Amino acid sequence: MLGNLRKGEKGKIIDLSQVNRLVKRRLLDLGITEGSEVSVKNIMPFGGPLMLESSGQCIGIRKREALRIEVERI
Amino acid sequence: MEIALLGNPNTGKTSLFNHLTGSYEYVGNWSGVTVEKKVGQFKNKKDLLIDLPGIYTVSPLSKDEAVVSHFFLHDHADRLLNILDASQLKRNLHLTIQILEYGKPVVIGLNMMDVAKNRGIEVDVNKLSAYMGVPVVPIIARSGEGCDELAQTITSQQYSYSEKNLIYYGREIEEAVLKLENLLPHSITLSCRWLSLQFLEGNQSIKSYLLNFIEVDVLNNLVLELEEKLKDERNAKSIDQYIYNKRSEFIHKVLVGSIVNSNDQKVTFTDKVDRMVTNQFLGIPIFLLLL
Repeated sequence: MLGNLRKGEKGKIIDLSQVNRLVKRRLLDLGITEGSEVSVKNIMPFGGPLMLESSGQCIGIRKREALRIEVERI
Repeated sequence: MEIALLGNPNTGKTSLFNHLTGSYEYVGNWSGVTVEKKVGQFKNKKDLLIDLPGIYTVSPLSKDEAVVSHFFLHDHADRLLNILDASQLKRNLHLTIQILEYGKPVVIGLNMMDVAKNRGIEVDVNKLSAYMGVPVVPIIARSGEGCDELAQTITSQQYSYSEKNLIYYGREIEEAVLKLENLLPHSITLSCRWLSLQFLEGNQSIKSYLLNFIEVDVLNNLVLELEEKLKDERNAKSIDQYIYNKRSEFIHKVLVGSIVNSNDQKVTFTDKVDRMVTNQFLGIPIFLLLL
């Protein structure tokens, strides 16, 4: 799961089906979908949000949502 | 003449708006600064410019985004000015395609050429213009460079655009679009193809508009039928994802043809600052210090 990656690690998204519909749509609009590569740039403490980087843009995402995104470490 | 300003969030629409109209609207370097439409007058004192909130796609997820769908459906604009972030074309062009499908004359303002260049991306403006079939003017909205030329391009009288469809979405989608087009009355002045595609993509504002003309069961059945077909024959997950993929294919082709990518990954200044101020230990002290 994306939420389990550590800072600096990279992953390829394999499954988004567990993600909330609106979040999925917004991620799609930002160009993040199954097959995209993301890297974790920063993780806030106490279960806070994490900052992701994908194709030159940074986005913040809740830990809860990140734990529903299945990734493959690369 | 009324000209609407459209683009992704944080691409410099309001900066450009201020340059073109000489007004002083509030500009901020984050998304969602503009949440309602604003109207200003061009420096030529004839044409009006309408500043709209930034959107990633026409389908609204929030209220400020619904402003844009409502504008497309109910307001009158003679021309559309689409502003793009040259360093994020892959994402930005999804909106451009939807704007072109709307069927009104479009001019593209290619912003942040300087930022793109720093990231090792060089865009061939003429080639991009040829692919999209509309004029493209490079600008730097922050400093105002190229804005006069852009104003001239969009307000000039002699302006033609092609009627041909930019993207062929495959037999299943095109059939559904045709079916919808036939159900719509001829009195509609909006592009029926645009309405149909937006509806199929799941745009709720468009759906409620179409309900004025078509029964709810007919619409729902059409979507269900198409979804089944795409799942069986194209192995697609959903209609919106399938349409998105078709657009991505087209964008990929455009970018391969119009971008010279030197591709050296420089660490940008923003990255360095970000690393400092979002550091888990230093972040809050720096924040308090600035306060």
